[in-house]
Amino acid sequence: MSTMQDAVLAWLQSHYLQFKFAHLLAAMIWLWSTSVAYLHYLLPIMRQWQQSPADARLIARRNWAMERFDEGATLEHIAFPLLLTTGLCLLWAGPWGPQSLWLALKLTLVVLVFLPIECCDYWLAHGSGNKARVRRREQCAGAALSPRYEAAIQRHWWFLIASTPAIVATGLSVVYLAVVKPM
Amino acid sequence: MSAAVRPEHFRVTRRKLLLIAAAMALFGLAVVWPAFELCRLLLAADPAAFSAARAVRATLCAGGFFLYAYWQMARLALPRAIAPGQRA
Repeated sequence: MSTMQDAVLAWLQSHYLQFKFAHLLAAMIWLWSTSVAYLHYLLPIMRQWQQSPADARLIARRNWAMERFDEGATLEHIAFPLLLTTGLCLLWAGPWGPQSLWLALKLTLVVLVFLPIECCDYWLAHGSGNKARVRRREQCAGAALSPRYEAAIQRHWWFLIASTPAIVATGLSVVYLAVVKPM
Repeated sequence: MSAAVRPEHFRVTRRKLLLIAAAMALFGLAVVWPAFELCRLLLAADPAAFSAARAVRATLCAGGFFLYAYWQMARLALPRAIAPGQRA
């Protein structure tokens, strides 16, 4: 067993930079892949709808945007497990361990902030909070909505608003800790 | 409008945003900061972990985060008048 572990460790160490490349790529995709859709499509559509909440055309557009946003989060949600997996590989094979304070602080933020947020996000976008799935289940279309569909959109909207400052602040902190390694 | 559409549930008020920002700042102060200090204490054997000076600094950071979170959420979500033809 130990020989097997040693062989895996030696292989990881010989591919350390490739794992680092995958880790960085996953971090970029995870942090930024939904930002354009969020800032320039979903938010303006939600704001327009809030101005005229009875407008059937705007309701239909709001629902379309939210459902597309669920799909748009797919890349982010493939990148996140890749980010965690490659991070663990780097932790095992690399020269940095828990004794490096910057890494311990970074992992603390990942566990206390990112993991809970991402669990909610997976559920909202791909689990039972997925709007297209709720619509199909409730067999409603266009502006004819069920309370369950409306609740799913409302939950996701509040989640996006509340998680934005947390993701921005901790995301930047984690990238800073990883790049600068201040401690 | 369908009876199911409940715009009041989406109504973003300053009070709601202040509450959310305060809850997040409190989480930072009560959960994240002690976890940071525990790391400093256990991994770096830092004698200044949990010191009063660090507590003051953490409180200031939490206050700063509270202001930032409120500003950011208000900027994103508070309904604002959109003139015809203007971008939302």
